[in-house]
Amino acid sequence: MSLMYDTTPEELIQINAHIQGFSDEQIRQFVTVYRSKRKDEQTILICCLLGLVLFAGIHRFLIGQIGMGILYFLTGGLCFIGTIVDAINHKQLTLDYNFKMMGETLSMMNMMRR
Amino acid sequence: MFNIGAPYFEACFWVAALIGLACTNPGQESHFSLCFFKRMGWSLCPGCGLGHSIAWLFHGNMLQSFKAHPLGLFALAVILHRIYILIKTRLHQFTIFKTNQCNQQLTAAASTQHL
Repeated sequence: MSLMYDTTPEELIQINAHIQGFSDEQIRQFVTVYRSKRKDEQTILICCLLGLVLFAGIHRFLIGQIGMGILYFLTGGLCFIGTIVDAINHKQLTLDYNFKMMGETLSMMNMMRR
Repeated sequence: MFNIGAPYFEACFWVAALIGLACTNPGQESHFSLCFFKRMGWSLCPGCGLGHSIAWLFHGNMLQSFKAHPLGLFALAVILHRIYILIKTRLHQFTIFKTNQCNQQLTAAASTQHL
């Protein structure tokens, strides 16, 4: 658990809720897998702001939203309005994605146990 | 100021934007332009015309919509899908929260009964 030094408090709360009753080995497995899947807030923010100067939508591709990414890419970030909204909202965007990655990690661990 | 990760921010924004677009009349000339770059005179924005395009769609005029911007329909579809996903995620998180709350209340009640 000490490996998770770069998570946000909201992520930690959710992780603690998920790993109730996990053994040390399971916790280590979870942390290893999750750390490789999660995205950092700053990465998303920087990719989002790239859309103001270069091409937009990269952050949406990183979050796995291909449709929104294509839309942003082809329309200059919805005439830059989408880029600005995403820059304001980047923390919630990464949080939602990280929660989804937590779920994926748990289901992957379930499948590996069988 | 921007530290609030309000879960409902994005959904409210998209809904408000669509409602705002539905209420405008895209046929009339207006001085007001939301596009910051267009006001500065830079005409290279590949998304220009999307607002008018979606507004025409709300009025049911497909031809004008495609004239304003060819991706208007696609943009509307993607935004509607995004709103749907956002609401579904919040509902899902809310039901999980509520079931956790109920479970906690049940275990609290059960433990007080055992005492």
